[in-house]
Amino acid sequence: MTSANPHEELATPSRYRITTLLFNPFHYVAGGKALLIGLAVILFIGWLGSLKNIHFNGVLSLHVLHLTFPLWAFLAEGVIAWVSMAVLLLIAGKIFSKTSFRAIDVFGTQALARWPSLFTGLLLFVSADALMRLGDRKVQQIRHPEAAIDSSVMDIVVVVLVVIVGISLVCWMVYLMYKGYSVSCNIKGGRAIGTFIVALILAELLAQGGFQGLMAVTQQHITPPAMTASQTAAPAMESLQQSGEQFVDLLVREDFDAAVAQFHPVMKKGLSEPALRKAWRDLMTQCGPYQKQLGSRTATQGDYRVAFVTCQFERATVDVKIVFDANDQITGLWFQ
Amino acid sequence: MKRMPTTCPSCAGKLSVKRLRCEACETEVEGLYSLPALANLDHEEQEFILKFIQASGSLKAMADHMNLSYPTVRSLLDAIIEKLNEKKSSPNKKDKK
Repeated sequence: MTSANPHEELATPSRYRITTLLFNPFHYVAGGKALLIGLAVILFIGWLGSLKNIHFNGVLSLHVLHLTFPLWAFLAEGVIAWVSMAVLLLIAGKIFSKTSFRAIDVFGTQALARWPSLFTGLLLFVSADALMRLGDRKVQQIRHPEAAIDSSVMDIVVVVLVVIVGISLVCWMVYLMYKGYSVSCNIKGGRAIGTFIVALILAELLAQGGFQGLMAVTQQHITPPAMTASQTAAPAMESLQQSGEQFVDLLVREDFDAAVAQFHPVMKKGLSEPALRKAWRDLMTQCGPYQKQLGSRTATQGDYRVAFVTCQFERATVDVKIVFDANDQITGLWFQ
Repeated sequence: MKRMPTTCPSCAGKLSVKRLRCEACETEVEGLYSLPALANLDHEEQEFILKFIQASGSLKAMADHMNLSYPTVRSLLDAIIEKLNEKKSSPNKKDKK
């Protein structure tokens, strides 16, 4: 952002303009002062991130991860990202600038350019729990596609808002990084844009490498998402599927004693071994002899997990619906 | 005080000095003298150069005085240097308006 008369600033002291402060603060401040302010911001958001496992692990990228670092590593993440970008822009400036410039200005402006990440950090701080929950559920859905794992609508809304605002803040920061480079190295136009983009890509790769190095040094790794309380109290969906299939195998072998042994006591009263035997034989009378299992799937209904085992009989296909409670006991059985 | 023009208002060519006058004894000198390089700068640019010299050539002092950053002041100086070099390399080139 420049004044309407570019010569106005040559002779008289310049007054601060709000738009220039927001979008090109380097017009007024660079060098050591910018470095101090920027470094303070970088270290602050590193500390903030340490409180909720928010990792500013790249020049632009940031994540909420199941990855606990010591505090110094969180602080180092931001420093690595800043230094990666500053060094590459310094090299670009040395190659492409027609005039001399100071390295302190490059490092200072790049540090100060990261100040919008203060808002990004605060945004993630207040929404970290929602982000973590949604991420964990998505991972569970990928691992167990047959399971019906729902995400909270509020979590989805929060994440969408965070993404929209976050992208805006990142765009602002990238613009500031570019202006810092342009001002400190006195490079303008297409040359400035092209070299900046190349430096940004390389710096992101460099910073990611630094992050991997931090993980190696701290001997930490990203842990799988922790199961929620309701999930840890229940068998994994895979074993639930197996439990359902094994129960049907008991029915097919007519080992009704073993089948009833898995019932909840209340269920035993409602469906005894003779009653189960009769129900199974009535099913085969109606649908023909049992032939094979076609497949199985699981679902959750409140605190209960349900296994559906699809069976092929001679004259029909039947879903055997088996409901398990939190203690792996069968509380419901339907032939559908 | 009126500012001395350095380019022709008709064709934008560079102006030269033809007559000089002594205010004390009213002596007039006629000839054809080219303007010094600094005279071809804008008034604000000339002020910048003067202040730069008065600041002992310290861009840092200039930046503090002008409430601008060091690289900003540096780029202003570089722009003036480039302008002077252009005029030096093509002295008869007409100034673009």
